[in-house]
Amino acid sequence: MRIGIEFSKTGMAKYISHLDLQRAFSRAIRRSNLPVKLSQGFNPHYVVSFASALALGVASECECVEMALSEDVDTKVFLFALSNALPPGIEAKSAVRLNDKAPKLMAAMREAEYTVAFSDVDIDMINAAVCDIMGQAQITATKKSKGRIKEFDMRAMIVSLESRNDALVMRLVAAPAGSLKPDFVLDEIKKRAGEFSASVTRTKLLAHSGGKAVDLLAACSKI
Amino acid sequence: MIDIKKLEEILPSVLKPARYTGGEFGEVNKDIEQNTLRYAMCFPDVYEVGMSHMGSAILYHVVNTMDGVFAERCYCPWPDMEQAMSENDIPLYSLETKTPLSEFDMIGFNLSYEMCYTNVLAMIEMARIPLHTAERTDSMPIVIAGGGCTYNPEPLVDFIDAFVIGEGEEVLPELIALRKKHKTRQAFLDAAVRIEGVYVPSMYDVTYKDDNTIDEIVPKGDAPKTVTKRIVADFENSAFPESPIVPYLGVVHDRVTIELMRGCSRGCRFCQAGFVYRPVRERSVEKLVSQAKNSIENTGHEEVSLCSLSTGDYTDVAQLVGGLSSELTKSGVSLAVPSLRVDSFSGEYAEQLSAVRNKNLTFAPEAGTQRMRDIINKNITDEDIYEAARQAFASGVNGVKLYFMIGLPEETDEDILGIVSTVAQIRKLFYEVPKEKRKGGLRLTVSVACFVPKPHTPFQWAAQDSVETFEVKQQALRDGFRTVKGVRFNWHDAKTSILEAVFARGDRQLGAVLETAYKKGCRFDSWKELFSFSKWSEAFEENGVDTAFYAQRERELSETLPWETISSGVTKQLLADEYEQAKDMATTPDCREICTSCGLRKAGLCV
Ligand code: SF4
Repeated sequence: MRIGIEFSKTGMAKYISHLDLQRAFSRAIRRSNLPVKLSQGFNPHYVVSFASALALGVASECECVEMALSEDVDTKVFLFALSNALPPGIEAKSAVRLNDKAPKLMAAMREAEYTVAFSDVDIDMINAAVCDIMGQAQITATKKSKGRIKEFDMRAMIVSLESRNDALVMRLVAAPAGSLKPDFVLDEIKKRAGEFSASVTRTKLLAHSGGKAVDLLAACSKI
Repeated sequence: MIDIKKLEEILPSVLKPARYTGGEFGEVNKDIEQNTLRYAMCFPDVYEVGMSHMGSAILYHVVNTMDGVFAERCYCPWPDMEQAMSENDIPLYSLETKTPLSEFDMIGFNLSYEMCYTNVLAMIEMARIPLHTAERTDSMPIVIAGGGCTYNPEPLVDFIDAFVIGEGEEVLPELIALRKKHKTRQAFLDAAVRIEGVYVPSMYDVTYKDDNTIDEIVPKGDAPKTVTKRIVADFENSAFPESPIVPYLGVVHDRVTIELMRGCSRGCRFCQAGFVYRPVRERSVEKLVSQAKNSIENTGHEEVSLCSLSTGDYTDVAQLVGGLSSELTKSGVSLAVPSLRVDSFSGEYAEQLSAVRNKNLTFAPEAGTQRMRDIINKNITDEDIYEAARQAFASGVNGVKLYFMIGLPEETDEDILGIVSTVAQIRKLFYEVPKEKRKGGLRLTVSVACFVPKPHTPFQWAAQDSVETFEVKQQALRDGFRTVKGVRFNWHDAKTSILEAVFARGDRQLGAVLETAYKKGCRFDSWKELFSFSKWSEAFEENGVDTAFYAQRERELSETLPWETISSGVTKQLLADEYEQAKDMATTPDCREICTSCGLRKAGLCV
């Protein structure tokens, strides 16, 4: 059986790196005694895979992880046992049975939505910067990959930027072929609007279906 | 609480922010009421090191089981965080509730190695507590310290109000309870000297002779002439944290650790742990297996390790390893077994180990010749070493780590070169194992430490080599190992070892040096990349203190030693006799075979 879990990572837990999060999940699974499959070999580990790594310092309401189970477990029972075993700051929100034929969550990922709350800044300045960014045909940015500095067009990886109340909602590409971290967009805004501090929360993980963005877990659990 | 918003602003810019956030699984949280006594457990090294320290985990558990007392943790911020905190006006705070340390009733430091002392000073100042005990007022926390280094607390007496000598499980709660009663510093300290195992340095006057050695140590008030260490009476049933905190960050010892035994009866003459942690006490196999099982269930860790000074000396070691491995393999948990002595490495044990897929073996012959091993009372023969290696190799071990020491008393060139020939012989034994039986190639690592004479050992009077002498010897080893194929040779930095010796056997005059070094920016001196010998040299020079006086001088048996007030229970006479024996190359048997009347029994500490 394949099970998909949606969980949040908030408060101080947002400073936990992806690697540390993976370890925290294995330990939670061992504590919970749930029948998650162990891999074969010298260093057996639980068969667990996360949909998408979250940048350090970014909170999330919607992280997803899938696990392979050695026997069927009711999703509610699973959710309850796992919730009890997870450390503070990481909260399991829902559990769904995944379709065996569906691709891995990681492979189905296409976009991520982030919500940015600002402090010490004039929101009109932000809006102006956002308009300017969206109006560009191309924005060249650089990132380090395998020790080398690579140029890429980050504009192509921004799906949308939208002001909602005093917050900014960003839809960014997050796919197996490449993801855009929210910091890149914030840096571009800062270039135009000056320094500010902001707290970023990931609010949706999305797959594509029929040309539309849809909830990742829902897409992979449909029979 | 500190300003969390400010903290969140700096966290994204520092290395490993999870060092500073707390909130791990198993962290204790309590309601804080008006009369809750708040205790901050400080470990003067980085989070990953402090979280791996068994003693701290035990005490966190012990103190937090007390009613009306709440113990929280604090580790030394890495220099990037120290700077960010100072720039943003954030004081040192506890991980659990993010409370500034200055608001606690009592702060306790663990002192496990001398090279953490500058961090202690840094943490006190980051907590906004005056560095010197004399400048602290009644509204400020009492600063105490415990751990191995308190067997000579003298270099730290300017900064620490009271020291706990020996095992803390019983005495720390007593001291905390006392703090609840006494709100003023002096009343508390006056009462604290009456608790056994508590040393209050301000209650002793130390005077010096013209040659700078100590003339007299005079206790004041109710302070006892000697403070004898405390131990837990019933080790089998003493507190053990079966639900310790599970860190997020990969810490140094990221596993469940169970404590098999305390103390070691071998009596190696250089080893402070061997003398100060006496007597030997063991936990039963049943107890240990159940502690391991419960800890795995509670933490979800993937590995269990055994902790003791000398695991192979545990009476039922084969039964224990067997019991543990059958319990653990069920849930895919592995077992790690460190620090073995070669003579206790039996074939049966070797097989048990290979069953838990341990392909590495650690041996500590310490010296390269029989002569030298007799001097240090490492009671093993060449044949013991080789036989153990043969058996290990035959059972499939292909990674060996060997530990040696140079600069030991009475050492000759021959003893140095003996290290090389011992290693060469072990290598040869690996290739004598039939090819089909051995696994892969041999990974042979040799670590050579510099001898540091430690208080409360028979070598407490001995001179240490100078930096130059150590370096000549290290060069001879490097040359020697060039003739032995495939050896990885590591050696300890001689300069760090000298400093360690100075503080291990230092007196009150070193407080000023420590303070100067700290002010010059010395931090994390046990971290190679941060250690600055030049800053330390300046600090010694500016204070007119000569390191050779503390490190390279053989002391007279009649000299009043700085740590004379502190007693480990072992008499000075026994140590002096052992020092004489060493010079005669005479060995002393394991005290589990023949009691050598070291003094513990008389002190009521050994039965
Ligand atoms: S009193 Fe005897 S048995 Fe006890 S620790 Fe000392 S030497 Fe060993």
